[in-house]
Amino acid sequence: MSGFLLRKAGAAAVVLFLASVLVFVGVRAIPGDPAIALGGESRDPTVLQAIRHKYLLDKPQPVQYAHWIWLALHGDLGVDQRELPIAHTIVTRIPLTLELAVLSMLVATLVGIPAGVIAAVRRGKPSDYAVTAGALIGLSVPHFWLGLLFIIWFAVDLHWLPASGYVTMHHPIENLRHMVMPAIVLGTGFSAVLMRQMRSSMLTSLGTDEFGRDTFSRIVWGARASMQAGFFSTLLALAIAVPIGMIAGYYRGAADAVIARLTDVLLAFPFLILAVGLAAILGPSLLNATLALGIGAVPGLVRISRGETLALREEDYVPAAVANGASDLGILVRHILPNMTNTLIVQATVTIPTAIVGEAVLSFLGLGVQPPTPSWGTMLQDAQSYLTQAPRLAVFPGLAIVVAALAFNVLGDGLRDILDPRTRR
Amino acid sequence: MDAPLLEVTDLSVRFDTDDGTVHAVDRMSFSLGHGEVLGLVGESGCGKSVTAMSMLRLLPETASISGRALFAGTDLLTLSQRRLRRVRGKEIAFVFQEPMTSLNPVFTVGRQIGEVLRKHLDLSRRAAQRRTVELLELVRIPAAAQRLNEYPHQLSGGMRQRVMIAMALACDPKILIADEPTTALDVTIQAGILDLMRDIRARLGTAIVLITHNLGVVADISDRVLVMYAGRKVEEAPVHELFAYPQHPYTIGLLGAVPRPGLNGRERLQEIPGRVPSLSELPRSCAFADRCPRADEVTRSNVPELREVRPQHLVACFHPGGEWNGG
Repeated sequence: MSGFLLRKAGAAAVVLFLASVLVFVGVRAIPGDPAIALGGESRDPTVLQAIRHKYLLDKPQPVQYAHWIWLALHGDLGVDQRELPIAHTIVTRIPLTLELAVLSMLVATLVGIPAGVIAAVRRGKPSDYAVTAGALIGLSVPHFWLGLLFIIWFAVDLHWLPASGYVTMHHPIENLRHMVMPAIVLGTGFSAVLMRQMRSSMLTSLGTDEFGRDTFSRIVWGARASMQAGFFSTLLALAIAVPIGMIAGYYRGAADAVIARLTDVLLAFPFLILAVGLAAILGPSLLNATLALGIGAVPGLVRISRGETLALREEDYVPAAVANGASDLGILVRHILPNMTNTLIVQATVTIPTAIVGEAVLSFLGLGVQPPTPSWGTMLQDAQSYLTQAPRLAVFPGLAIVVAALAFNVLGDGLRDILDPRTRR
Repeated sequence: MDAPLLEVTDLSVRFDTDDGTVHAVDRMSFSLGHGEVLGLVGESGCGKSVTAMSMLRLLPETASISGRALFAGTDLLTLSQRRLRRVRGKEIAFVFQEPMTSLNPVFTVGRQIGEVLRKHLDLSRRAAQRRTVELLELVRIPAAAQRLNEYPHQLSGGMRQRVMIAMALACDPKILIADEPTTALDVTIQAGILDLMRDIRARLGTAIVLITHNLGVVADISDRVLVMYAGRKVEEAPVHELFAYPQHPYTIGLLGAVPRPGLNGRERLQEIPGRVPSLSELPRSCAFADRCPRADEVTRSNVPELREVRPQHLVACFHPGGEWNGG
């Protein structure tokens, strides 16, 4: 614990030092001569010299800095243009600032949280829209302008509240009368923020991630990237693999030998390794990740469509079609392809979830979706660091992948039932 | 007599396999007239189907074909693929043995027949559909208009063979080659299909090559019969001539193996002893010599050539003729 404090204190000291140097240098960098500014109109060289001497402006800069820091550490922050000590002014203003901050927070909380609750409970109802619209206005209105309006209405026109001034807390009523207007003005914007957070955190029970981003929203938005990577890469793989596999399986011979051996070579690499390599060559982006995943899935699909074609070309309806004058292309497109759609659909429904997870791996390596854009895969990978503290971060994106995979399987089954006349009723 | 529709001369088919060359068909010659029904008979593996398929070049690439097959003045064996595809299905149509599997299971029968029509005749979708109904009615499929939208698995075997025949007849072909069209079917349905084929010949004037191992089927509808053994033609005659005066001992053996009414239960059907010789080598003797009761020194050292022993009756045998004691 003391080690932790020491580390933090050390870090704070460094920050303070650098900040003070920055301020010191910054002030010196501003054009103009402080001696002339303080000396007023009389540009008397002796007066200017005296001022410079008083503020050590005739000494080298490091000395000036050391002197400034020395005084500051002793509580002497200098005086303002009215010759009042600045340190004293700051100290006297602290309770005022604190009171205003607490009161405006109180206003924001008392308004924002109930409003958020109402909006969430009555989602989609008029009260929700009213509250949401109100929050939007609260966020958009500039504070200083709202303050001016309040002064004009409540102080100048109605005389309900004082326009300015401050009364100490020894007279609580008077004190509050002075504080109420600035507190409301300052609390408006914050209450709008609170209201929106309250509403969304009530509507989504999935919580937020390490940056406070809503998990539910990220899953919804992440579906774009994951679906793109899963669906389009599979589509691409099918578009490339099926013609190649069919040509190899139908014509056999040299083309088949080359394609089959090439497929074997590519299949020696695990799908993900292949995709990672391709993505690394193509460069990081979601599109390239999709391309890489698609191409990575090609060898397996080539092998499947080739095998199916090999079996289907031996079916009796193929020579029957040849005897009826069908061309090779006609046989491939009209007889072999329709009869292998079953297998292809099943394979595609397996490939899509694999590609979704593959996208996660690519994104984790920085080759896929670029942060902060979410995808289910990147969310899973991010959640890994917080697995013991916040397992929900991994559970919900994982569930999304499971549900998507399941949905694609059901879709595949349904498609197969619709497309296959033998299972149709 | 005008020129025959199809004239096949010295057709030979060899298959180059890993175990050596197989001479599946050896110097076959025959002709087919307009509207004629030719029965092509022989046991399994004698080269009947290979002969028929080689004419349309439907065999795998391992087959090498020589000879000539003149159809309407063009040699089918040297035709370009593109022009050959226009002959297949349009001029010469094929009906295969397996009606169960020769239809594509994922398309309706209407679509499959319509596809042939639209490819060869360039019909519109609607015209093709009308013609399909006509064809299905021609092959005596009841409620043809409803059958259009059915899938092969919803039809019985006989129905499917009728659909196959309808598909073959779609473009009004000059020749219908039917390869064992009834073998996979029940006997009663066989009779129906044969009846249908006879009807088609009578109505449309289509010449038919009927490939079968069943002499009963041949007797039923053929004009002329060609008997094959081990890749060669051994006998050819008009159907009545063949059944009345069979010359080749193999033909006589086949006729003896046909069950006949009046055959009493104790009598055994005659069988032909031995088995079909290997086709890997060109014969130096009569291929049937090992199984032939009439074989002698001449038979075992010479290959018999075809000769005309009776009018229009060709036989390849050194000792033709003789009796058989059957119907």
